[in-house]
Amino acid sequence: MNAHNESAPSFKLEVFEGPLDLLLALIEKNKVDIFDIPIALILEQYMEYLERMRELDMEIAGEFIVCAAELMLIKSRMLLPRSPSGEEEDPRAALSAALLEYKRAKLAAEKLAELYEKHSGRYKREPEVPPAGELPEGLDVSLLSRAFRRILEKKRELPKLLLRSERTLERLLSGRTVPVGERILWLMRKLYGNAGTSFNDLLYECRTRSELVATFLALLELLRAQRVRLSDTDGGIMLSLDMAHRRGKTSPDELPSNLTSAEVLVPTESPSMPEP
Amino acid sequence: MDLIAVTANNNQSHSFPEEALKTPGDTGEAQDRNFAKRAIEAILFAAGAAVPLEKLAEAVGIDIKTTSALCDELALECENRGIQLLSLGDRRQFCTKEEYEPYIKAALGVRPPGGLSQAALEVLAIIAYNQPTTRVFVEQVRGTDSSHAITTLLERGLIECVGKLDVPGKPNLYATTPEFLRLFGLSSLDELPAIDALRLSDEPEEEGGL
Repeated sequence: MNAHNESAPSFKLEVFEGPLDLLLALIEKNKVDIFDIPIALILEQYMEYLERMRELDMEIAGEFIVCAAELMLIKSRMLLPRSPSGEEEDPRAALSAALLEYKRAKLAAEKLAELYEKHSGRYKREPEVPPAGELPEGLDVSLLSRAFRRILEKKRELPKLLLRSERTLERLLSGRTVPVGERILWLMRKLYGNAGTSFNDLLYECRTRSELVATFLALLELLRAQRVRLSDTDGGIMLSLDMAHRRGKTSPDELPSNLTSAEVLVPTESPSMPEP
Repeated sequence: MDLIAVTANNNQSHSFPEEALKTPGDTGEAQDRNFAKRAIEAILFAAGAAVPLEKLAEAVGIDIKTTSALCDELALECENRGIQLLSLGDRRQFCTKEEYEPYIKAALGVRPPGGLSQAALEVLAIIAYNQPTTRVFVEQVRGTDSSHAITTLLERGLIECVGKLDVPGKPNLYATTPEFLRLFGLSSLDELPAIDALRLSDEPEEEGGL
């Protein structure tokens, strides 16, 4: 119990990866056996930690609460008289196993971090020619146009009120047309330093139809100039800057150099809407 | 293996009859062998990425065993160079030697790939030691949501989706990539460091843990 008394006031509010991480820290701090956890003590300190989080207005993830409930359940089971045969499982067994498993993962992560520290300075070359055969199948521009159509349809499903306000806003802005060049810059700035942005998110961010169309055209231009790469992941189509095609320093303010200025500057009027 | 072949001239172009490479006895065959080695070197240089031995063997027209031996020789030849030939499972890849990283950075202003967060490292460790495995398994071990870390690892090319588990919902199965082996200094998954905590419990686990 003294461990608890002396540590409570100086409890540092570390950030933990999850409830198991917090529990492991408490077990280590109290120097108790992972297979013989003093549940009452650990639960008390665990709740104290959650209380501190609440005081500091930190968001407490749901799994912390779930774990607290499980700890309480184990505590109450410990209070029940054990059957005389003594053959039933320790109510803490599952918790111990989970903690051990997580501890292994943490140790493995530590070892990996050391290896990474030592070896991540190995640089490879980018291939001279991107391997044509290894591109994911079915990744072409038609995928984009289909996605674009989907977005338009989704937008149409928006509540009428929202649509109306959108139109009003558009009228208020006296139908400002968005130049493609502007969206190219916007897009490159957005992707610069961002490992990946989803195609859907990109278009959902557009507020007006003109902006939507200009963004889409900007993306096509960047794809053509090989400045942006598409990849197919779980979450849909991801966009990222194509680093292989960087010329010297690519700053976000730099336009793709194989776009002629006319191509960039010409579209001052809103392109006509392709009706889906 | 016959390293004398290394010094042989190779200014004639040859095709590689499969049999010619097996006995590097006379000079002509040694030259064939040497030429094949240079061809492999050229392919690996142009590829940049890790190339499967099978593909190298196929391109050069020799068997996989000889290809592997020639790669070992190439790796030895790199001893006095700033680059190294890595063996990553059944793939081979050229990359720079770790110790020259500061100079590369100074000259090219390469942005460092950046460290990996604690969460990303934990997720990577769980996947590396249990692959192929699902997000649900990872989250079960960590006791917390791990989707963000998985996305990061996918983006960094350290893990990839290798299929779907045949259970309801068909969750993705994740495994590590050759890129993972390269950046963590491993030549195969067998070289993953042993985790001492394993030895703490002798009781067999039902789920077959780390």
